[in-house]
Amino acid sequence: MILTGEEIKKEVEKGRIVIEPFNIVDIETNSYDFHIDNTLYTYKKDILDPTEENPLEEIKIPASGLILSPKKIYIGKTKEVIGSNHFVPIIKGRSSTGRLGIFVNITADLIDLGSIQKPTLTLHCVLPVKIYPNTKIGQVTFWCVKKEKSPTQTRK
Amino acid sequence: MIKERGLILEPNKLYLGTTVETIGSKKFVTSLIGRNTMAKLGMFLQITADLGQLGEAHKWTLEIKVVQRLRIYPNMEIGQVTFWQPKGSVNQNVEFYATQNEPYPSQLYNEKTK
Repeated sequence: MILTGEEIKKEVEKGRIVIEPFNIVDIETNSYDFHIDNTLYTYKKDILDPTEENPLEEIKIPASGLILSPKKIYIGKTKEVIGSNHFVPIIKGRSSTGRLGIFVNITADLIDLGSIQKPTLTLHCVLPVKIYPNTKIGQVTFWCVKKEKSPTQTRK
Repeated sequence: MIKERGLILEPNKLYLGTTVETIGSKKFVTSLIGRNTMAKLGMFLQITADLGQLGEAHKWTLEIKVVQRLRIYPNMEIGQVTFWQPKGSVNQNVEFYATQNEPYPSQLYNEKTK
């Protein structure tokens, strides 16, 4: 089962879902909109190799915007701390970013139960596209689990 | 327009389209994803934005990107919808038949960023 926006709000109030900062205007019908943190990273190498370290270069999104290149992957994170010990968060793009050809993740949308942090975004664009600081870039949904997890699995 | 003999999609482009069907539900949350037959040909259907809003029904705007050049045909079965049970009450201010029956471009420019 997927939580409705009203239910997400209730669970945040009960402390069973963490969204920090939390703003009521960002609640959608069955999700919560999150913003992009203004620091992104790109890989310095052209060919990535999973068996080697792939050094990153930091880029800040300036107020005038940053043009993303379709040839690169941009590693970023959300502005909000997001997570829950009771519901599984799944990160999704918003239709308004999807229609600009912006992927907010590369097929890895699932967040571990008990992982409470700023989720990593792996941004990729189909065409060159400009993004601005604090853009509402994606949305997070919360899904019920069949069994409460054991407390030993808790991680921060 | 996609002609009878097909349209070749190019990897360096983003294509917006719509479903033939009007799809939505007041009871279940709709999610729209690609079919695996198209995925095996390298087609992304929806650019990480697969989630519908509970209570909205409309023809869905499709966001399509291909990895290699790919020919598509009119009326083909391109994706699939799933329906998910919601938990919790819903703020009933959503119009059931939304107006998005044409390919709908991004409205992000309407949002003021801080």
